[in-house]
Amino acid sequence: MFRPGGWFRPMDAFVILVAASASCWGFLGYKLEGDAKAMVYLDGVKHAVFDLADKRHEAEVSTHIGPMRLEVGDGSVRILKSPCPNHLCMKSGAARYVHSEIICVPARLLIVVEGKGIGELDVITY
Amino acid sequence: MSLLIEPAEMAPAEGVRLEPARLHRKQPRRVLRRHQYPSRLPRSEPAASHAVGLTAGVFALALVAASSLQIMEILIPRFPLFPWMRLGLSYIIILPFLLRYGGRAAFALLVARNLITLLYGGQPFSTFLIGTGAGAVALLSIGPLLRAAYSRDLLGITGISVCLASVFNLSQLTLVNLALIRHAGFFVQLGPILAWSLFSGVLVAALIRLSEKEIPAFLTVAPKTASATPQANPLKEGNVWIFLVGLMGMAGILLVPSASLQVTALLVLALVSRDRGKALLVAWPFLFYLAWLHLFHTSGEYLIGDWVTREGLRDFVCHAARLGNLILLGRWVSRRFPWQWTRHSQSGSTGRQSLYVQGFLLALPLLPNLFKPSLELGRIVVRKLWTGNHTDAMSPAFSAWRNLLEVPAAPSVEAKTADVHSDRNHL
Amino acid sequence: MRRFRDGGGCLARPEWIRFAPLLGLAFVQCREVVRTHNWFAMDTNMSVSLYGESSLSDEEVFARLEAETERLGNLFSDYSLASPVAKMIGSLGDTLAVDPEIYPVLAAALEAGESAQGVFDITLHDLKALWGIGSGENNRVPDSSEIDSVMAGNPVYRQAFEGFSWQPPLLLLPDNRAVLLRENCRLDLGAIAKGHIVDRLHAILDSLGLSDHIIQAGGDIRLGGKKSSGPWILGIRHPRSADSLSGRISLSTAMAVSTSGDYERFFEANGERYHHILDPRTGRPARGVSSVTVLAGSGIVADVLSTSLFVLGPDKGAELARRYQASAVWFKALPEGICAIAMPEISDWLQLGGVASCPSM
Repeated sequence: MFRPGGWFRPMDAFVILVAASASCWGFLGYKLEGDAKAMVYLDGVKHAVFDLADKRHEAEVSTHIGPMRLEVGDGSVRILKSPCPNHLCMKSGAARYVHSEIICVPARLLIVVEGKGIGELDVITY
Repeated sequence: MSLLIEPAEMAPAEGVRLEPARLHRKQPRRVLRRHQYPSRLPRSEPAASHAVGLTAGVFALALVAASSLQIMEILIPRFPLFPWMRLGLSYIIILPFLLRYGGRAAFALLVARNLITLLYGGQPFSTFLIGTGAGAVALLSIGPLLRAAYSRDLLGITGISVCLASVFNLSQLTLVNLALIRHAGFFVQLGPILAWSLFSGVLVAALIRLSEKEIPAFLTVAPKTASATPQANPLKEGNVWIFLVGLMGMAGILLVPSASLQVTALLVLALVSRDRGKALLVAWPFLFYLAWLHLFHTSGEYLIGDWVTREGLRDFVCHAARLGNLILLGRWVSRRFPWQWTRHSQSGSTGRQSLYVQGFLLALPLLPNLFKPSLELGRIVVRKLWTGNHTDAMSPAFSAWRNLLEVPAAPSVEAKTADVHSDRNHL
Repeated sequence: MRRFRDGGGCLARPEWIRFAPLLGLAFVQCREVVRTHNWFAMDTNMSVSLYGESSLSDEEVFARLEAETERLGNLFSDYSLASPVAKMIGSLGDTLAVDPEIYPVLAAALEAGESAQGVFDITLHDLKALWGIGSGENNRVPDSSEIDSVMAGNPVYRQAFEGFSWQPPLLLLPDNRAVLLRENCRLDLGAIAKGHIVDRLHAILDSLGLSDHIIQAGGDIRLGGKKSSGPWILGIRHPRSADSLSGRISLSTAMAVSTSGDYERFFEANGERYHHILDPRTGRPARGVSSVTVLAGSGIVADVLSTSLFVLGPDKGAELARRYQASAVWFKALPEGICAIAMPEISDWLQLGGVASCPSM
């Protein structure tokens, strides 16, 4: 059943190495959340959060001028329906890059993509 | 030193089937150098339902040992938030069993061991299913590969042990996430679990090495007095329909995503259960932590500070209640396991009871009395290891297990088994 | 109670507590701590990111910046009638006292008006009101006659039309006073105030020892100090799709960056896009360019130039930018996509992400 020298073969070192490096990869590489999340601020206060790594889905955020429908997931966020008068925030399209923003002034609502994103921008000028 | 040959002095007992394999032939004790060793184990897998040379007595012996080792683990404190941090001591038996008898036999051993914990350990049925599923992946899929690699001298015991531990833990992680948690962040545990698998795998390999004198004989020579025909099944029959309804209830709990339904079910189950759901308090640190992921890592509008979202709270309640339901209902279901299934299980062609069932039934009456001696054995092993007495640290355990089967079971065992089943009308 | 994003850093706000249930992953989560705070002011979003530490807590710093922004916002607002800027109205030849804080901004605005030959104008309040810009709800395309009548009441426009050289709407006297050169003309410092505010916040942070920072007020950005991990990387928003970038700027020195685009505030009527940047010469939204991004030494210059260069376009704009030692890149929207025209001065820092150069002008 057991053979001499059968406790440790050279390949075992390889197995241990693979397990150890997979473990390191798991420790360092695997994050609890996706790379980017859409943080929704109302009047400068964190109001809601959406992980952009989620599957694309619709979500609702309540604001003092009424509910706002968002589409979030698959790496981007945009406002689908807003009670604000001229719908600039809807026209401004989707935000995808870290630091990109969607602003709805009447609702005093700001959506910022936060996290560690592609190319690691510090800020976006728009 | 070579230990491929069982001790010559251990003569085969009367009435115990002896395997014909050459490994079992009496050979003078001698040390073989590597090049002298036949590099391949017999490769012809029999068409029969069980492995070559395996007898019910040996299976029973392995089962007693594996169960006892699992009980020993209780000595090692489990960290509430790291329930997967278990050493898997029973692999001291299961791994050599895999090498000797193949993946199917080792899986049968694992299932039997899990049935034992289901029966005596008060384990919920969901835990049984997940543990068995992960074991199936580890032993049935890569088990034969590892065995072949060992027989071709590619992998050593250490590598095999690490592989088994990693695959088992990874499949368990995946199954738990698929069935219970359903949160992508769950895999953040990947790193620590792999690190732990590495540690426990190496440790189990070291313990196998400490037992290298005992294991070969232990896993090949059946106990002397044990009869090849097991006693009658001591387990009472369960109503299959009630059991199936229980299983369907568990499936329903797994599938329904509504927090309010889960909470309602939890309240009902807690009220109906014998201890009014106190089991949940005990299980909390081991299981409910899993739901915390939902509490802190769910998209949605913030409810408490910028920590907890409304959706997160809802998902948390839903998943925590579901875990609670599975524990309560799973306990109820395990008590109603139709044990007659084991009696009816027969190996296809011969119409005889499968060898595994025979072994299981052989070991079953001993198990209620195994708890105390196992802990005692565990203490002895730890003490011996602690004092540096490594060489025969495990030997008392092996002789104790063999004695357990060779000495006729105490009469109190029957009463004890009956006791377990007198509870079945309570939840 | 007001909460701040990531205020206090890794230890003061133990992010890792959430991970503790799983495994003490704290060490993985503690990275370079950038604390960003967002708030609304000046009808737009303001944000400040701090890289260093100071003796004050982040909360105190952010609160101080917010208070300063609010104060300056009230000072420069042209909508609140109580604001000092709104009060600067009167008959031709009236002499008014100018708030000492507004005085330098007015001076910069008048100088820019002079340099840009009226293309930068601080008297657009009535025209903007006509187009409904700023109010949000009354967006409409006015008739030519309406535009003409507003412009006719404003001698500056008339003179510009008739080929006269640009005349300032007021004359600044040395001792914080000004003489009005226009009858009943409301001032609008919207195109310069944000640039001034980012400069002010920049100065405050420097004085607090928080010299490494990013300040953003709408499209105006002021970088401060340096970033330890390499150059600042700025993304330029694509003028036609918010979820992509038209270019990147990497800056190793702290500068001010401002972008003006036709996508910020606009409405569409009869298939045409009417945006908020009016050409003072025509009274209508400036045409030809979709966006311009300006790099300059101060926020106020960047802000003034982004508006002016948008109206002037690349040809005349480059000349004006050089006069301020600034550089710029323009983007135009063509049916087949956008194209870019960059001044040679900016090309060292600019990376165009797959955007072609515009065909020769």
